[in-house]
Amino acid sequence: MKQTFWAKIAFKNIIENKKFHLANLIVSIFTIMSFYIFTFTATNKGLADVRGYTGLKFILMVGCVFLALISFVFKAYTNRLLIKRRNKELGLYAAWGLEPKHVNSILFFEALYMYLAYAVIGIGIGVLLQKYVYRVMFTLMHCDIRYAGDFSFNNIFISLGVFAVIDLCILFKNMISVSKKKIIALLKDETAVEPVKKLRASDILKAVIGVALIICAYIYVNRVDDFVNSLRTLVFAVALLFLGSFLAISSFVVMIELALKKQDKLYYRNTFFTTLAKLVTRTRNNALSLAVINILFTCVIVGSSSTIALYLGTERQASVAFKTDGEISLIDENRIPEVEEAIRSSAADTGLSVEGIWIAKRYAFPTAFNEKTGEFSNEYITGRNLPDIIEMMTVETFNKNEGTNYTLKEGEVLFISDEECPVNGLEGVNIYGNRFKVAQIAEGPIFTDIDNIQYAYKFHVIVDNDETLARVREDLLSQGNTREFRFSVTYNVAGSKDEELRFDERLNDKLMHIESIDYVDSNATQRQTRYARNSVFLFLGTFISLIFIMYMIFIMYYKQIEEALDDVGNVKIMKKIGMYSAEIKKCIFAENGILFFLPVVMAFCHVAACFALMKDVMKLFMLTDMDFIRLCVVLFCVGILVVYMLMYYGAYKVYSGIVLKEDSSV
Amino acid sequence: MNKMLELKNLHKTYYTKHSNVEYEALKGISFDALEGDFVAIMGESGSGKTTTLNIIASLDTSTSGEVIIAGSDISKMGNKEICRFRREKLGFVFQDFNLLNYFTVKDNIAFPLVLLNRSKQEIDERVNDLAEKIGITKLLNKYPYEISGGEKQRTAVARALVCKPTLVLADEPTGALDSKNSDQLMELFKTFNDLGQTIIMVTHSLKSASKAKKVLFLKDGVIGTTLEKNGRSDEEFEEEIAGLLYNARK
Repeated sequence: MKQTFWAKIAFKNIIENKKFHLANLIVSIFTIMSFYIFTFTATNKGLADVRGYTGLKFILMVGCVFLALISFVFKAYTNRLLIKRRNKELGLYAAWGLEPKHVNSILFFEALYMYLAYAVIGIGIGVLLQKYVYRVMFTLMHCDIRYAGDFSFNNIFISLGVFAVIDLCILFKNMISVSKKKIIALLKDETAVEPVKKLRASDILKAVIGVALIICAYIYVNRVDDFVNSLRTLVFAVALLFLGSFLAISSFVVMIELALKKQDKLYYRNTFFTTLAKLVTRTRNNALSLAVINILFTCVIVGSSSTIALYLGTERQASVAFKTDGEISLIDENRIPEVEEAIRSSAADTGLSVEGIWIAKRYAFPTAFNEKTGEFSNEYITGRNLPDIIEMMTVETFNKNEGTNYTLKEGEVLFISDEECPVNGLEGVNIYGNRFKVAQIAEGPIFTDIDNIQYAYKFHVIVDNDETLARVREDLLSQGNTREFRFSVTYNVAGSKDEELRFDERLNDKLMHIESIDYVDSNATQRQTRYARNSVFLFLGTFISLIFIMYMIFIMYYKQIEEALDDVGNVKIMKKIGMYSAEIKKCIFAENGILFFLPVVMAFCHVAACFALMKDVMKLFMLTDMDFIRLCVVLFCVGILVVYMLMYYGAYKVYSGIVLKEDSSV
Repeated sequence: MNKMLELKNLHKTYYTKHSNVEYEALKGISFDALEGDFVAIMGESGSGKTTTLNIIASLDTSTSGEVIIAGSDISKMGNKEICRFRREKLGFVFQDFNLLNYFTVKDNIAFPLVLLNRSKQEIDERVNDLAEKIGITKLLNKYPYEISGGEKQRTAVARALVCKPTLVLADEPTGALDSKNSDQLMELFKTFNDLGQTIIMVTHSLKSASKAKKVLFLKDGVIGTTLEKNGRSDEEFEEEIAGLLYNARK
């Protein structure tokens, strides 16, 4: 038979099963549209003018790869749901005498139609929206909009190519699995699900493993100090969390439900009776989908609330970067006057006044501090994967910069501990064999608290004079520590944010001509680069979260239809026996409610348990205001919960609409 | 004896959804059943017997006419009232058992009592008592998919009787059973009927109908002939029914 015949059948199949295909189509349209917009934004020439362009492009490219990967995973998963329902239909084709190549032709044309539909619509919408999305992103970045080009064929081809590969992989998988199955197996695939009778020993074991895995994942994420270097193991922790959630739902939750079922006084009550009896089986059958929704929900909360907190907290991050407006670090002490002059002349050029310039000689290096013994060494401290930082300076420098009036005798130090690592009652410190008596413990942060480097804790040791500082350095040099003294020139200028940015650009130009500059940074630079980077994070986070939410809706919608169709017979029986429609609706509301909100409650637990990790990630981006982060997370949780409740109500309506469709006659 | 069921000039017309084609399934059915009666309704496919039963069961509504069960006219009842009436006064036995797969046999039987908010103690007493009478005590903790067709139908009978209904309605109760299980089921019906239970049964089976006290023959939506058993044996009554059917086909 001609291919056009199979093409027609495939088209009819899609139209007749539009209830299932429509949701898939909508999600796919949004996914390819997002992918196209990501690639368009990453490759747009206008982005090249933004400070930190290379980093931003890299983040966007990583976003594209991530999006392609999650698209593959979710498309494969949702395909699994769809193809499972179609096994009987495919079995019938085979029973009617269609050869595997004919069935494959039907599957191919169906996949082709769906691909063409979502790719054309998705990229079309992407092309129409790209300009506006780009503008929104640049507005968020606090940058001038430099929009280049209407669309790029390259990006369209890349988007088409990536999704064609994903769809082809899924199509081949379907073809192989259908051809491998015997006709009878395909025809039998839709048999009724056996209810869960009682828990077996293996179920109890699974329940214990599930809960244990979740606890392990919680403990692990709370022990991660070095987030960047622990990414691979964190992915493993997420996998553990997923597996644990799946086992916990399929066994532990079922165990609880069965225990409730045994409570006669509770179970033999009108609504509880059918609700609990059905719930046990539905929970077990939906465990995988619920675990997927649970992880998606967790990812949406963590991803979105983090990116929102990062963006809304940009000013906070910029303001904690330096205690002063800017800092220049140099190695050669003799160059300090030139730097001071550059600051003053840049201020004059841009019409600003210099409020103050401070100079400090500092000796800083990574270390490990044992707060119990007061010892600085290179020994590993349990539970602390990132190094600590020690910074030493003289009491004269400290007083001058802090406006204090400390005095120290020989052999004494002033110890300033990290805010998060209190050292009450510390009498002495031992810096690689150099012992000092702690004259006083002060609290940080101080003027040199630079937070744009990764560390666990930061400690300041203030010594009596230059000789002591030089002696310690000599000793450490003999022990192999080649770190040199640094001279930091910090300054404050009076002006608006825009004026400070102009001053900053001017100063950077002048400093280019001065040798021995170690690094230059300022709050103005930090603010601009952070706005750019955080906007890109917010952009990616929003799109990816929306895709996650859409997949969540899709899975739920699909499951609701599937289960409602399976439940039509049961509801008919209930009605025949004399159950009111209102009672049936009440049962559906309760059952679906428990199933819907189970993954959400678990997701909230995951988020609460992972908050310490979120806090550490935020700290990497210099967002240290914990109350602010907490507020962002809580507000986002409330917002997403409201959206989820609406989704639940919609799903409940779909479900009750299907099962009570023929209610009019009863 | 009191009248348990009265059907008065029952009409039912079906209309197709998208055209004006109409089909009159019942064309004025009238009959009475007394307390303790066992009535079998027979007839060819499309004669209107299941429609009649569905209207008596309040699962469907008549176009016109009255259905009075134990003095209550159900055709005048509202939806909620009908549901309440159905769960308190009626018991059903269906051809395909209509058991809920996620309930055990015990819970399937108990279901109508739970809907009536009976205490756990009462539920246990009545379920255990009935299960013993019907011979399914050992099956109580099993699920429907674990038991045979005959056992399923006996479970369905137990569920129909658990609320001590005024009227038991059975729609082809032996339709999915083999002859041995059919015989056992009809014996069960007969036993409960002897104890005073009123039963209205739709059936194709001569043998099943012969257990009833009265057989109504429906043809094209009207009652054709009515046969009364009047103390004859099952075999004699079966012969008479067979003869009637034979003559009707000639």
